[in-house]
Amino acid sequence: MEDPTSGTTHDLLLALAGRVDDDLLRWARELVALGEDARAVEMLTASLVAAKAVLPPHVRSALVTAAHTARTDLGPAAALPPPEPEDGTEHRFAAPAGDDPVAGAVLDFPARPLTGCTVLLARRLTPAGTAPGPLPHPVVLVRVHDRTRRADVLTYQLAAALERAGAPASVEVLPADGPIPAYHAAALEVAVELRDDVTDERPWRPEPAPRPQPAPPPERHALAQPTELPPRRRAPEPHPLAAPSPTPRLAEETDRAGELEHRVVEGTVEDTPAEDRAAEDRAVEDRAAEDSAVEDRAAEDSAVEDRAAEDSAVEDRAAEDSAAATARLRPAERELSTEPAHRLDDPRERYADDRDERDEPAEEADDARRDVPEEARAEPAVDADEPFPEPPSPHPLAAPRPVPVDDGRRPARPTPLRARNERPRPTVTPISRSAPKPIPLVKRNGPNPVPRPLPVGESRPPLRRVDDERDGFAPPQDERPEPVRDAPERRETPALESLADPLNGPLHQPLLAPLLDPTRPEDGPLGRADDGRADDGRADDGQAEDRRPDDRGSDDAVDGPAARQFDDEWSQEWLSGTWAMAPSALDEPAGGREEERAEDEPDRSPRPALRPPARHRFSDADRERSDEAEEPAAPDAGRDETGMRSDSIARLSDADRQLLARLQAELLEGRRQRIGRRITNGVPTNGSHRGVPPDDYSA
Amino acid sequence: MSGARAAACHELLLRLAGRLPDELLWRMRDWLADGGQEVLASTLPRELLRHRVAITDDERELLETAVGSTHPLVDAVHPAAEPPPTQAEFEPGDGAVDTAALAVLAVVRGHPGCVELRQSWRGGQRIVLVIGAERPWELAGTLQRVMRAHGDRTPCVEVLPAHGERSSYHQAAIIGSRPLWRSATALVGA
Repeated sequence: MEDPTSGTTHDLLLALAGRVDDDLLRWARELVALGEDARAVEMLTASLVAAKAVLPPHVRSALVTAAHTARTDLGPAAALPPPEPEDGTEHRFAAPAGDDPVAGAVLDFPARPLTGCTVLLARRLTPAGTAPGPLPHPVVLVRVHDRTRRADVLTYQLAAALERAGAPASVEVLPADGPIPAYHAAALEVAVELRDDVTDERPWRPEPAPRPQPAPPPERHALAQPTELPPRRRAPEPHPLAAPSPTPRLAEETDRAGELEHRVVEGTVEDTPAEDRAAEDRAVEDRAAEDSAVEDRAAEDSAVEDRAAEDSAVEDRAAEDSAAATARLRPAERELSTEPAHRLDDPRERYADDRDERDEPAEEADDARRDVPEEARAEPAVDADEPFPEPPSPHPLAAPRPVPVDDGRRPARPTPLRARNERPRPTVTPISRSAPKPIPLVKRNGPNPVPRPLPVGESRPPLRRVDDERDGFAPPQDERPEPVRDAPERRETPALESLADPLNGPLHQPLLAPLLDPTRPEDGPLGRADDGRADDGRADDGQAEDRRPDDRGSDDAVDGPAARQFDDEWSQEWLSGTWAMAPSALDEPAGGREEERAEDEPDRSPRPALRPPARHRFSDADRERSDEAEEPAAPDAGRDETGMRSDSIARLSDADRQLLARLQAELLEGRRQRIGRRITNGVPTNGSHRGVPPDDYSA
Repeated sequence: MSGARAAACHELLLRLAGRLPDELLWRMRDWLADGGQEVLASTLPRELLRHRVAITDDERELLETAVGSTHPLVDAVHPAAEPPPTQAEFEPGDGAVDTAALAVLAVVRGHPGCVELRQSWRGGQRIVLVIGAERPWELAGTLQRVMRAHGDRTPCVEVLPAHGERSSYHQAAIIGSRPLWRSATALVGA
């Protein structure tokens, strides 16, 4: 991001163009782009002092200041000759020839870094520096309309690209507006525009054809900004990532939306400016939107794309382009702000539930994004009739996004959005919190629902079933966007899921519901205890234990498919809790298995130090996971011995797992060694359910 | 006197050939040619440290003469028993004399004290070797500018004393070079 220091150094380099040789300037720009401002200033100052260059007063003082900041020992204040004011520049430029190789290299440069920029080329006819290079020397001028773009980085990028292409040239990146040194003004007078990427700020959109503009660049730029920006301003706001629009109008709208949104995102956490912008955006929408359906779609699309963080970064830069136009629009928009402000509350409330549930844990991460969703939500067309909670469609884009609130605006649901249009916009309808909502327990699902989506998707359907049974443990994921899942396919064990989704793994699922439900043997991790499976479980324990050595990576001759067995084995292992037992408390074989179990545990965090072997076991888990993923889930068959489902296990929190483990350990111990150990470990307070398995086990 | 100081700077920069990057070295020689001993004094120690160049005792003496022994960084420069052996490879080239070589020749002929002009190539980079010259730092600066005008962005001009010990870099360069010109004195052997 721009910082004053780099901007000042960059400006100093612009002022020194033509006073030192081009290679030194290029080297200095490279150093500045890499953050080595001090070295760049040192080199420049040394060259100027050695050459006893006569500089204009402002340049000389800027150089002295920069040298002082860079803590060089040169003392240019004393070493440089006294300043002499300059009248223009003594350099002369000419337009490049038609077949200029530098022009070709410039045109080959990718468009994305040059969005919002106009690139021109001129040839300098006069020497520069104490050891000038051949003439005429190519000078590439870039006029940037986006203030947030790093000029020094862009300079370096373009210069390096030209160098690689075999067409080295000086690159001068200037702001599109504001004063420019006489050197650059002289160059711009005769420069030929090569490309103009100002109109479209979105790099993912098809690049606009390079406009052959023979007009003199300064005039063109002076005119271009006002003419280009205002139309874009009228975008239906935060849709920076609008999908490829079906209509050009939509594209425009989304473009503008993106710009507006980025202004919002830049303002970030401040609600007030966000609200203002939201108000403005809505006002803009009101004025500009004749087709609400189109806007809705745009809103949806943009909402989906809101999630692309990198796009928002681009949008940020792009948003700057329309700063002036925005300023013009703002006063008018603010007049309407009062009314839209009400609407702001309306949609916001509607989504408040989700937001509370989902965003609270991830506030810090979601602040910037929340502004965007707020903006999007503020948009009446988008938010009004959001049926909300369930986004119906899978959202690959949504996967990494921490804003579940936007689910409703996914492009997969145009119909509900259209329904919003039916609502009168100015209506202020307080949204009751009683709207169907995820259970408050949602909050305990950990900090961030974001990473959840795809990797742990498979486990979701079973959770739903459990939720039906257990009100108190309804998972928050119900409201979350969930990719299509095959309930019976549990291709991933809870541990694997948690591994894929470190933030959401076990915490997202109801902790004990499946485990504690005796009526659902399939779901209960202690299923064997729930019913007659207990016997199988016990018998299988022995088998599982026997198989545990197999878990170490060797072939498992005892079990069937290793992958499937692996799932159950380690599930059983950690549930057995033997890993939590002191080695002395366990038998030799059990102790040996402890390590395995520890490794198999989905939650390795509490015991990383204790179980170094877990590392390589992890690799086993990886192997197994891939195997399991390919294998169609047959959980019941594979889990006979343990009676537990991996997904059920994944639903447990760490504490619950530990408790379960201890419980199981007790049972195992009780079976194997001491009956008394059964009673030692605490039993989760979740309910009397726990009482059941032990009884069964103890049989 | 500036002459002695400049001579020390010149000899030091000569010895640093192959140990400092070309693009930095030619600039330092350019500064020296413009009478920028002070500039060198300010920048050379830091650059030696930055590029982790170790210098021998003789070179340290030169450095102290060039920059002044009171410079805080002079002592920080790594000592070395002897200069590291060069790993550069030089080729004499095919003997073609291009415009740049002709321009260099024109300058060398008119510079007092020059005995021989040789040219070598090191991985595509032209190396100009001048044996003997009065005020060699000035000649080096001039030749560098000539090379720059002909498109060489990092001119390597080594103005060596007519007699004296050569560094391994210069020895390799001389061995892998082709003579472009010899003064009458050199030819006659007087």
